[in-house]
Amino acid sequence: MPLRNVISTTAIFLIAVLGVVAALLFDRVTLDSLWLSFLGGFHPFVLHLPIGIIAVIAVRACLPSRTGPDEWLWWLAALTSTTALATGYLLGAEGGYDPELLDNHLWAAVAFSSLCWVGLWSIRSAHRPAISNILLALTLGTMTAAGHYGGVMVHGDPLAAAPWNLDPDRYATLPPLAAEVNVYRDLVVPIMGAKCVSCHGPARQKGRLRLDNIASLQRGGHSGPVIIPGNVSLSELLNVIKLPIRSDDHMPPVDHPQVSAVELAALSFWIDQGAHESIAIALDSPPEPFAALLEPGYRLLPDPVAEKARLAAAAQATEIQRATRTKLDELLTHLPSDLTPLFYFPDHDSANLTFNAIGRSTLTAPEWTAISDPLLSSYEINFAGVAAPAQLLAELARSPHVTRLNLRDTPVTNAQFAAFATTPALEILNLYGTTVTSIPAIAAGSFPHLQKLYLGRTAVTESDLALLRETLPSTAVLGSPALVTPESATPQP
Amino acid sequence: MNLSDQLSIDQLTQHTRRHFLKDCVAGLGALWFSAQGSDLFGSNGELRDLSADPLRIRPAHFAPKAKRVIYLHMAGAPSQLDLFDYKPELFRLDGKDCPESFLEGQRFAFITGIPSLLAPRHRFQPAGKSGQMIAEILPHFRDVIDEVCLIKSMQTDQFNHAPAQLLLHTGNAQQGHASMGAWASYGLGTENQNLPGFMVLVSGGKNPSSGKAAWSSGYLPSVYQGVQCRSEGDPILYLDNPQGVARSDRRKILDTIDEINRRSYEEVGDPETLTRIAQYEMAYRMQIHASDALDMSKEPDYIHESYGTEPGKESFANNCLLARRLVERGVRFVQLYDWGWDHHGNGDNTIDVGLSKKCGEIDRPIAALLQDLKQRGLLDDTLVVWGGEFGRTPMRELRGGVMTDTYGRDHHKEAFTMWMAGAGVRGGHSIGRTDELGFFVEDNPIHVRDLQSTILYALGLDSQKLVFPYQGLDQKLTGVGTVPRVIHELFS
Repeated sequence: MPLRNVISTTAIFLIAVLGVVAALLFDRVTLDSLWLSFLGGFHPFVLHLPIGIIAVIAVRACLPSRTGPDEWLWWLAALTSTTALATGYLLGAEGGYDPELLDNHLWAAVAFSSLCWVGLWSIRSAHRPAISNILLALTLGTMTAAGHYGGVMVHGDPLAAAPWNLDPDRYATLPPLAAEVNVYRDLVVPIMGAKCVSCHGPARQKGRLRLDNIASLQRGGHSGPVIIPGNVSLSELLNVIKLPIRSDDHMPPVDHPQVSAVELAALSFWIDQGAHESIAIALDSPPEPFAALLEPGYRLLPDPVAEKARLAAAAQATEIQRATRTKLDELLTHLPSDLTPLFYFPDHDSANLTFNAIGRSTLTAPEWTAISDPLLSSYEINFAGVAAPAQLLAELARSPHVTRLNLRDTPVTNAQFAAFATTPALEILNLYGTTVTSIPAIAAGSFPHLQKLYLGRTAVTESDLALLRETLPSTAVLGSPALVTPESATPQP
Repeated sequence: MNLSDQLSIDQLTQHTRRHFLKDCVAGLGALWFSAQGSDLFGSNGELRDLSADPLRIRPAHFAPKAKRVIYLHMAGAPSQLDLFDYKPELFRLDGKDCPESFLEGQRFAFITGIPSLLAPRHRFQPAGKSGQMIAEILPHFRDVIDEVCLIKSMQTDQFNHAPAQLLLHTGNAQQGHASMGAWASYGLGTENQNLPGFMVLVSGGKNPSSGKAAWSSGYLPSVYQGVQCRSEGDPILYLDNPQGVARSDRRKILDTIDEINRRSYEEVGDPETLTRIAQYEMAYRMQIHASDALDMSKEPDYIHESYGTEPGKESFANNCLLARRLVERGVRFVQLYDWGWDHHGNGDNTIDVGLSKKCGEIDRPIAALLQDLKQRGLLDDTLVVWGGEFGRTPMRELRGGVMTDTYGRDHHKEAFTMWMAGAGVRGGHSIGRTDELGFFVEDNPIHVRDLQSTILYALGLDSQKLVFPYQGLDQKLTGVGTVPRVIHELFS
């Protein structure tokens, strides 16, 4: 081997080693230059070059007959790996990574880069193929190690998200609390664990943000700190939770379990108090906004069994509603076309058939007959100002569907009123301005679901109203309130 | 068949499926793109089916809280600081210069230089069970405060009357856009086929600064335009038959026009023809029903007394009573405008005299309206909204810097107060908070677009789904920019 080659190879190797040593010495230097940060940004691109080149060398080594020497490939590998090392060093110096992983990544990369140079030297020195192959194997090994640490550092450990490593119930309920509650350990960690850590934790660090330990919480992520101790309104962590759910920046994402108001109150309290690990409160006198969180068995995540049952019940209700709607739609098709506008559904999916006689001061007897079937299936009926036949009112009083009935300004008798006491679903009954004169005796269990009863401008006396309010404690009974009169108050000058 | 026809048929028979596909590249691409468009660029709104009858009742997007809206607009913008937004700090700072940090980047309609702060000019007292601080110049309103939810953190973009009114009612400071009431009747139709879905009543001696554009139908079909009623003379102009034309003659004329229109529709198939037929028919029915709805003389005395109406005159009290009569008959959106709330401090137009006088005009009617709606069961599904187009400054306005002995405030878009009642609104509450001077919103800012979106929400309409295509864009009441917020905390 010519002496010239030996000297040049050794010189290059020395430069590489010196570069690495210099890099290690720089360890204590903080980098604040925009240029260094800019160059560091190229690391994700450059690092893939030596990987590809070494892969090509490995493939060529396996081929039975080589076409030409590998020297230029080793040259490229050595140069690109060193560039990747340098840019990676600059990127790592910016901070924001797990220090231990970063250290491992750095040393594996130093070894890899050095081995590339040694490989080059070995090829140039025309050693026996065995030595070159051993060097190639070592290079591959260190490359894998460096790649592994780097990948885990940036994208997280894929194994952490493996199905067999996940315990879905780990954060389902808050653990039992001692008399003195450590706000960080007992509340913040489980809340984060249930709502945030699946994306901002060991498995994944979206936005380079980890929320599973106090140090990363305080450090923040790619776009800066997420917690300003003592300042609730400037803490991004809380602001993204408070954003409207439709907002792009809202957290947690829309199809994930959301942070509830009490959980948000606990996080706010912790940040307001300075966001330390040592903040404690007494279990028996918790701050009011998140007292509910400290109730035994508070669920951070919904009970999967109950959740499934809830979804099934909701699906079944939708199904029933849809079937009812179809049936009612069919019923309405039998109406004469000039009567169809009197019936409608309040919204697209609703099965709450609504009847409104507004605009039709009178209906003929055949018309009443025509509408009686859909009326008996109606949810809301407005007869205001229109006198319905007595027979129909008696039938309506037995309808299981009538929920809101407006008989305002119609001639309703006391007996008819009494009949509505047994209407099973009735919630609102409006008898304003009717001819009702007295309150019939109301038995226990009358008006089972009645919420509002309007009796203004009737002949019902105040004492009867008082009696009614006593008998029906969960019903708002509205008489004729004294409307404002000029004397009831005089404006101040 | 001539030679030219023969040739073109021969040419067509030579066309294969390949020719079709080759020639249709752009067309098929566009077809695909229009099918994918909603996935790529967000979903389209749903168009309302306007064929047959444009006023026919249409289902809402989701379960509505309100069937109807009464919107009481105080044109000129009342001072929130002397009525609802109590700022005791202003007493301490009365007459002192407004801190410069507040004035940075602010523009005012009239204030120039560094203005001085002005303390509330009317006394406040806790009102109702909720104990909210309300000015004493609204004595009757104080009695119904527990029906009302105050929104103290309203904000707008405009500080001049006309553009601010247009922004509030049509979603755009320029003319030509559709107003809230027009959108509501476009979205839901009308419950009563004998009356328009959107009616407007004006008091205070003149129209609002923005004029009739505030109740325009804009780019929506003109059938949705607000119909202005007058409380003196003919309630609706040009509705009655001309002299010498009997109602039966009118019927014959309509039947003939109807016949011609139907024939034209069968030939051409333009749905606008059906709209026209529906319009003629409604006008005919309105001749009877509108006159009845707007005839206040049918009300008993105690009602007149409680509202404080003055039959035959144009007054806010009359309009409140008419509003109740209209919602009772299923009118979807009743819009009241009352002019005279622009209290700059010139002449009698002051916080002390002018504001007290205007409050005296609206106080009793509003309290009576809320109580009347409530006892009739109408407040359950009628949303009542009250407010101006913007607020007024915590600073005193001095025209041209000349010191006078009258007190006024300038236009202020950063913070003002509105209130809502009925339709499940949480009574006796307030939403949002302003800073110590009432200058900026400190908590829960609510833009007028949020208010529009909330009113639509109460009616069961999604502001993002209620659209009308115009000039290549799906127009929305709340504009096509940021998605406004629904004030969910307003409802219990």
